[in-house]
Amino acid sequence: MTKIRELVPVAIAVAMVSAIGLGASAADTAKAKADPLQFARGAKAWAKNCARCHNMRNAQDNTDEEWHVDVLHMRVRANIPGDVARDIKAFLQASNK
Amino acid sequence: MKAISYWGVAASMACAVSALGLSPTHAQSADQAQIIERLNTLQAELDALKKQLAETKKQADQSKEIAEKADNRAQKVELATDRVRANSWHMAGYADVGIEFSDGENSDTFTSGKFNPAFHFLYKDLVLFESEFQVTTSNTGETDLDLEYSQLDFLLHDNAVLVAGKFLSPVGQFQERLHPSWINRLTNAPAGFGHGGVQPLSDVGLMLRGGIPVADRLFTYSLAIGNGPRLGHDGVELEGFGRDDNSNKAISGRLAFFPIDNLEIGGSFLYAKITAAEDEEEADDDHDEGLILANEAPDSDNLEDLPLRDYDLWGVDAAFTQGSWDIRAEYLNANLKGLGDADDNHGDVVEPLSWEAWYAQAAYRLSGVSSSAFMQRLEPVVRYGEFITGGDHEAEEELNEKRWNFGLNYWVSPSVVVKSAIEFRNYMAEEREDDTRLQLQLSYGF
Ligand code: HEC
Repeated sequence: MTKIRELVPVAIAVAMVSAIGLGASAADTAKAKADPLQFARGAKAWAKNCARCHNMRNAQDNTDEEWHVDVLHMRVRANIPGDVARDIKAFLQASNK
Repeated sequence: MKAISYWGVAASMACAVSALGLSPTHAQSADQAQIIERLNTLQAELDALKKQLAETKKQADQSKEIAEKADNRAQKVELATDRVRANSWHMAGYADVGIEFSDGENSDTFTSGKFNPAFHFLYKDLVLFESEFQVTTSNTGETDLDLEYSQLDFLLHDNAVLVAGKFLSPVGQFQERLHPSWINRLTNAPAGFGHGGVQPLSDVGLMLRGGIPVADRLFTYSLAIGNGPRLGHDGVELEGFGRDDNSNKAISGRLAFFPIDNLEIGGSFLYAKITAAEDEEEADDDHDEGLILANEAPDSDNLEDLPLRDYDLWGVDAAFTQGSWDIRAEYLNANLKGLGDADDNHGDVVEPLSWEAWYAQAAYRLSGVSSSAFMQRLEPVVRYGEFITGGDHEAEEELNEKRWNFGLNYWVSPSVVVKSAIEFRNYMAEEREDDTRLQLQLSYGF
């Protein structure tokens, strides 16, 4: 009985790790399509999500590459869905010039 | 005679004709000279124009070349600044300095504050590595270097990220989201949150997290499995340990949802087994049982033989952010089971321990209240909190308190803030005097 209990975390770990492989192959096939509405969606999602924990940071604070990394950092920290994060990133990258 | 006159007529006619023929010949050559001259001038003008045209063309070519070069350079610059490479990175973090005046047991002091550099590396859209150090100067003058977190985030799916490594605990709000000093609206953590409190700080293991939209609302989850807490010199240490001292893993997490866009409500938990401690002072005594257990750090030699104690924690939190308002509240409750039977007087009974902490905080930015630029940067804030431990007399005396904080912040930029605050600590132990502190802090998030 205890043995089975000890195996539960192992099973969870194995399941999580094997999910990485699935995720990696899926992420590569998801190609970005030009989307004229993305900017507007991004602006809205930025206003809704990015002042929840701290003050809204200026778009000009970061280059495109920095936003590329940082929006993902925030996506993880704030549990923001990936598609919403991509919209926010597009908005910030278009607004930092 | 007649014949002569004919000849005369003929001769004079011939003369006349030749004169006629001669005179146009003469006139013709004069015109030609003029035309030639004009032609020559025209030719010269044409040559000059051609030359000018060539010159202009040369200039135009040169300008074009310059323009192309400039354009190339501009493109290069644009590429250099805005190119998103497959391996992209970003450096961030924060630093703060401060001063605290106290009328209690503590002396007035400058606080050297923290320097927390953070690094984020992203490979394509697949995996993000994030790590943050904390560099502080200890009370005795040494430089302390701590690893706040160091984790790989695998971006599995739009609604799932797998985190592996050392991560900030997902339990509650303060530790994962609010503790950096450029985010925290007061100069310190609420009582019971932060080091030595109830809120877990970090863990080492795996975490699955993400957000799932359901209808129009967002649900979020963070579920972690890690080495879990240990008993240390200050009771239960809720930090990530590089190795586990028992094979039982801790399970923790937080689930949250947004009933309206501006309101987030969350619930957290942590379940762990903690290796019971052996009381070092009495361990040598010739007790029959051999082991005396206490609420202290276990002796590392025979950990496997020591009994395990159940630790469980739960909490709820809420955050409302809209316009100038930032309102938050958080509650945590934790218990560590005792050992032995309190009814048999063998002396190997270990009391259960309990912890409870909560706070509520409201901040209002005066941006909409006044037209003065100075006023618009001000933000008053108030927080009330309590921290109550049970089961250990010493801890109760030291830790149990009620705390009021009133602060006024000046926001230089969204991540640069000067904070001033007054703190009233009301210790619950009868014999302890209350403590009032005046705090100033400057924090910079970069
Ligand atoms: C769940 C709370 C939360 C939300 C929501 C959030 N942030 Fe953050 N943000 C943080 C925390 C916490 C830090 C500090 C990270 C650290 O120091 O470890 C931070 C840091 C930052 C930084 C500084 C650089 C860095 O990564 O440390 C930027 C820029 C930033 N956030 C932008 C954003 C943007 C843009 C959004 C919206 C997509 C956002 N934040 C949403 C919590 C949040």
